[in-house]
Amino acid sequence: MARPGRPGKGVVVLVMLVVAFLGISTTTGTGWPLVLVALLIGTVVAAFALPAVPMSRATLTVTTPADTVVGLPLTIDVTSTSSPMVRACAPVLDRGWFRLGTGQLVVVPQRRGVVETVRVELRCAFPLGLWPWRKRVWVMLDRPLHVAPAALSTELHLPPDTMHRGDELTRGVRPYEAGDGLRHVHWPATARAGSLQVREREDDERTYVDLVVDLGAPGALPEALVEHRASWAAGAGAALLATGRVLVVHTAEPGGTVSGAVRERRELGRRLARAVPGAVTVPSGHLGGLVVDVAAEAGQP
Amino acid sequence: MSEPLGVMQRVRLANVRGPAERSLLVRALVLTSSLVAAHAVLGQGVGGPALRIGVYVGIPAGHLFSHLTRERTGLLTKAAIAVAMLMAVTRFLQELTAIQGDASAVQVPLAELFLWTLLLHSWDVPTRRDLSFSLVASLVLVGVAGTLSVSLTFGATLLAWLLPAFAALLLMHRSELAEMPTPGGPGVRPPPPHRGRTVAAAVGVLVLILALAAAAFAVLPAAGGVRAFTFPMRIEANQPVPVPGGLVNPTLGSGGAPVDGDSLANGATTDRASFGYFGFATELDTGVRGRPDDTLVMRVRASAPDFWRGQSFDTFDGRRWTSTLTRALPQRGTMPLELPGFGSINTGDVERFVQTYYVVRPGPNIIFAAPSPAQLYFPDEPVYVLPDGAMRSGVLLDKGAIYTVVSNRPRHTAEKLTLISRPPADGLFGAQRDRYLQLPPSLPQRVKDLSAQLTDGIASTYDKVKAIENWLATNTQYSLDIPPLPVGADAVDHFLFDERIGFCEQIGSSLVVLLRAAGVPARLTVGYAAGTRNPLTGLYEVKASDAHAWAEVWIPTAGWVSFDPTADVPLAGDTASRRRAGEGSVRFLAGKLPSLPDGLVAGLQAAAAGLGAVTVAGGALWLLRRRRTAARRPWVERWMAAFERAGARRGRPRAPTESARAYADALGLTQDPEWRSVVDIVEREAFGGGVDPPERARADDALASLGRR
Repeated sequence: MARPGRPGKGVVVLVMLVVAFLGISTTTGTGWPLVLVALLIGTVVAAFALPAVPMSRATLTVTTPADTVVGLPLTIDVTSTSSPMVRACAPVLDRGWFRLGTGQLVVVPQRRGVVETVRVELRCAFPLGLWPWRKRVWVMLDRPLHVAPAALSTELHLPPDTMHRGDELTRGVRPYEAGDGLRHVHWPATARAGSLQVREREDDERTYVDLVVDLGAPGALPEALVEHRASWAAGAGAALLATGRVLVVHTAEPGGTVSGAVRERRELGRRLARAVPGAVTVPSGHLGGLVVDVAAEAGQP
Repeated sequence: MSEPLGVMQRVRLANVRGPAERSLLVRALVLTSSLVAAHAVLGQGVGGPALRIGVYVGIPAGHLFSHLTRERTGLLTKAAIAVAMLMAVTRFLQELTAIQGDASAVQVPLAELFLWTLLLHSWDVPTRRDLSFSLVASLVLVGVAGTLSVSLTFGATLLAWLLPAFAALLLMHRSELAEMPTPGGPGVRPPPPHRGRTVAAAVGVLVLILALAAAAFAVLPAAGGVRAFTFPMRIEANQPVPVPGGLVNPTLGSGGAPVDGDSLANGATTDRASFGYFGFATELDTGVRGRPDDTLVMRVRASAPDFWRGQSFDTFDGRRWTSTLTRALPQRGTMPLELPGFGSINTGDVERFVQTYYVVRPGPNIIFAAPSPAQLYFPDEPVYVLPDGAMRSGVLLDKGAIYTVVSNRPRHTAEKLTLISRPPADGLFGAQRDRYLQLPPSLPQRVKDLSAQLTDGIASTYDKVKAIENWLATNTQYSLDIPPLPVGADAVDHFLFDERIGFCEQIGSSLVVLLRAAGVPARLTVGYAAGTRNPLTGLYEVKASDAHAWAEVWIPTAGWVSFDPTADVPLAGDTASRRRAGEGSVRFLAGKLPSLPDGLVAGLQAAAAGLGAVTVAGGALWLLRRRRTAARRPWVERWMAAFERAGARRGRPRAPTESARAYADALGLTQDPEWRSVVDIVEREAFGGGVDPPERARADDALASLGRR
């Protein structure tokens, strides 16, 4: 709900002048200062009440891409039918003040996470700029925005043979499924079938790597270390994906441990965006093989 | 964590220079406001030629210089302005020390200092904040000019200042917003604001401000004079009167000789000015017909209306009034002059009543004052005081003369005066008493009989006066158009028994004569009635037609008290304690407008009343309809709407496609079994056969408790 904020310095000055003119009128008996007092009172009252009008009509819709990375500029679509005299600020997207309107805005998210709603602070001091009103609105995004951590370049100490690509045991071909890498497309089969076909590989425990992203217990670690681990995991995961391996990423999310295969960086970014500090329980019966423990490998920022 | 800022850091932060103001229109509007404000002050006689040239040339030049150098730091300019400002302040302090005794004289040097401030500041206004300071400075100057102004023409100046100042304020805010980014796109420029809509919005806002100002003005307390400590006095040219202490009235023509009613009735012409009143002379002929016109003769600043008393007459010959008290005593000394309280009784219950007189037309050398004057601020000496308390100046009072009188006005009330009975000795003795009981030898007996008939059996002097006033109000009529007085006729007898129609001289004379016949000392007094109060200037505008004659009656232990059945001047003690500033505004403004046909006025009033009634009724109907519409909505719709509001307050608005269950999940409510049941209830109501009232109540309670969390 819109409410008046603290009056600006102009209002303080006007109120002081009201007092001064009233004193002058009382001591000199002159009438015109009273007319000025009345005008100043009218101005202050109008400045107080009028911003409520555009504020009450302010509407805002924000549309974002599904994914982004911390520190990278992101273009969001803003749709508003409000008066351009209303200012807005979206702290969650690290956006300074801008005038409401329709178009695109560039924001630079500074924090990892999943953004489902955007808190927008509206301010308006229509028309005289003396007494701003403010309103906090929560704008629902039509789809969540996953802000992935910025990947740190990492040095993984892995057995040499896991760094080689190829030596895959192709068992056959199958239709393309979302998440399959482009490098697995079997083009001849695709040409014959008329639809994308990918190599179906023999399961090889060397192709799977478990990435355990332990961000510590809730509140146990400083935020800088938590984010460092997330960024390190992003870098390590990207490097591992580049070797053609399939990651099985283990993270803690608000509902508990989540373990799942990740075949591309976007998916990795989303998993890391959703990750929160908490206990990470690696399920038994996984394929085993190489395990990368982020907590042990990431070190200190 | 950042360290708290120190004092010097805060000062530096507060003085960080903002971005330069690029809008030429904003600068032009601020310049216009500044010039209008400066002109308003200069128009009140403030400042010499050098300051005038400096203002009219220097302020525009300064604004131009500031605009051209807006991107530079301007340290040298600031240093030069600081030095010049020091010189201006030094000069002001020197003038201040030269002022002796009269606090009101500080207004002019102070106004000059403000003008220098505005002039010097105009050379360093690169940013929007500096322009705002200029706007505030112009507002202060307008206030100063308003303090010095006594006429209605200041209203036009105020309007000429208000329009550009308001526009500048509006545009400065827009300019501030224009510096902010706006959503666009590559190569997309924000659409310019629609000029017509901008102007319409600005006009609408200005009208709203004026309406609010009018409402505020209606309830603000009126400008007071009781606590005033500045008492202006001024005289333009000191032209002494021929006879020191004598009465001179150049408006009567013929050297100021009294006007003779018989001559006028016989067709003689006179060179009397249209605003000249025949009562301001050494005698008053009740046979004179014709009244002064509506020429404005003076303005009076006072906190309440009263008679502005000129002089009195004590001897009546049946037609003419004269005064036996002709010896005027000169009064000299430093201002204020302490006046001898001739004829006043210190009852103890008095109020300090300050009146400042601004002479608009040259007139008699009478110093008008409310009854019981105690102090006088007059720009010339000596001042001559007569035994009846009347005062005369030793110089002619021309246009522009100003003087101030402080009266100790007794707080008489009708109740107090009624309670005063006539003691054996009423305070007037011997010749003094005889003077005010004098009756013409030729006074017809029927006048005395009428007096006895009206006052016999009444003990209180006040009640006697009221009895005679009531009879006069019932049995006579007030009119300015009356036939000439027959030759040899007694004016009072003719009025009371023959014509029964007359104006203030006849009515006042009749009251005095009837009271004297009843043994009550009384005298005829002439002066001005209060006039019309101008709510904007706070001054009473006294016209020549306000010249008046009334009776002063000696009431034991109270002194001389004015009575007049024809003018509405209440007793001091019965006056409302505090007036409203806007009191009488509508009447005053209506009087300034040209008269409209009665039918048109009535039609406009009816239309306004009708419009008001339609607006109120329409608003009430709309509210009623809205409530009914809301009440007609199904329960589940109302519940969902309230659920959405509660969720939005918790930071999670509902997506349009989100069901109640999904929304409750998103809010984390369905972990509570009670909420799972509530969601079931809502779904059954929406999609099933409905639910029972107790279940609805359960859902409402859950929602209410959610809202309280």
